[in-house]
Amino acid sequence: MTETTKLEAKVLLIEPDLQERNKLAEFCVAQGLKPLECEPAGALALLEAHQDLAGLMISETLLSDPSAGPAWARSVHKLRPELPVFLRRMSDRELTPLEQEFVQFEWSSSDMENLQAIVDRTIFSLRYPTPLVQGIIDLSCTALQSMFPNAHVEAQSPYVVHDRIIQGEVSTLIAIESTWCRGYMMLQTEENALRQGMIAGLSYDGLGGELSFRDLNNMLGETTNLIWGAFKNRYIPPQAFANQQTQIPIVINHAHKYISFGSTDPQLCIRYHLTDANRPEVPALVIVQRFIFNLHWSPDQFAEYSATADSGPTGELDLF
Amino acid sequence: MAHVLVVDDSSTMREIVSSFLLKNGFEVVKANDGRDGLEQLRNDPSIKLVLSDVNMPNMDGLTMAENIRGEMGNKTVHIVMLTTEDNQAMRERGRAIGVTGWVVKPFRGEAVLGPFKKMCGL
Repeated sequence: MTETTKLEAKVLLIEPDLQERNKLAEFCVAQGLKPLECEPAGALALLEAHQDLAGLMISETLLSDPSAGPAWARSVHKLRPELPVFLRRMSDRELTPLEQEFVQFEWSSSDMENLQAIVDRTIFSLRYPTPLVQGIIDLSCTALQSMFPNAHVEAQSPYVVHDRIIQGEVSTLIAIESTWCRGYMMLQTEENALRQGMIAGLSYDGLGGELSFRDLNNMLGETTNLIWGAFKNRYIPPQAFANQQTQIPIVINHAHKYISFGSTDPQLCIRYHLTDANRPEVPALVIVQRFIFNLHWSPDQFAEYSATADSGPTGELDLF
Repeated sequence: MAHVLVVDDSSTMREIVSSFLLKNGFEVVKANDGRDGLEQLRNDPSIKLVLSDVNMPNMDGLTMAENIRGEMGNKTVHIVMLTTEDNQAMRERGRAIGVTGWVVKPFRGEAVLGPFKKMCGL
């Protein structure tokens, strides 16, 4: 078996019972979940502020109302149907057919093992090999550093998301196909933050004057190309190039900042912070990376291939 | 001045590479794909080095190199591929065509400056 990374995931937690909330918070930490605790009144604002969540944990009874939990779950589900809803049951009543449509998982506090099993099965349904995650971070940091040579590039802890909401206005998408996976990589960022970073000189001298949105697109496009090339050279064996493979449509609704690959599996997400060491007060340029292996996924084959994979030097001239 | 033709469909890469070469005493002309690169080369006999990406729309870099060596009959200009591609089959194809060298991106100017100067007689 391949050694896999236990990634983190953010969940919205609406639990009015303090004792239960503490118990759940402990459970979350043990499972690698980061609970965003809130009262029902603050839930929608928190939902709006965090568009990279992995699920919603909610109590059946809120504010002494025995059906308030499912009602809140329904509101959240209407806004973000990709987020699995975990409802803590306090009564024996059967959920109505309507409630069952948006409450995917019921559990009781006397059965935390069941909750752990459903969290593993849903939030962490894909396991990412440790060397792959580390390799992606290494090669991405190298590519980012080469495109933004005057920035300090740092990757934050990787996590998984079930949300399908795009961050920022500039995003790129590239297909990744190997013998052990098929899917896509996306880079997403805020147009204005990228523009400010370029003007501040995080990239090359001469780049960063009058920048149209096309220039900014191109900058992220070339960064994507570099990461993709490095990924391909390190993790995709030559025999994979010969395969003619089917594709499925990718749905993007930019007005709603929405993108779907047709799969409900979690996407691997890493955020990179690019800062100016000389001006720590300036907010970081944040670039978000996601890997979506929706067409094929076989980490055991990855392990076999990565054991022999070796990436050659870059930037040096190989004279024929 | 030594002329270098930089061929890349990414305007960002064209700017990064050109600005490094200009700073180091080269004169640079730019093209945004293989077809455009061939055209530039036909019109400028002073070009001594073609620095080209591989994957580009309209005409890829290796097809352009094939055309330079074959159809144009230009055997003297140096052709160096600057690409994210690192697979052996593609390198072999480049070698068979008569490509002079291969650089895997990211571009690190200092690592290639010496050989480029030599190719351009600087």
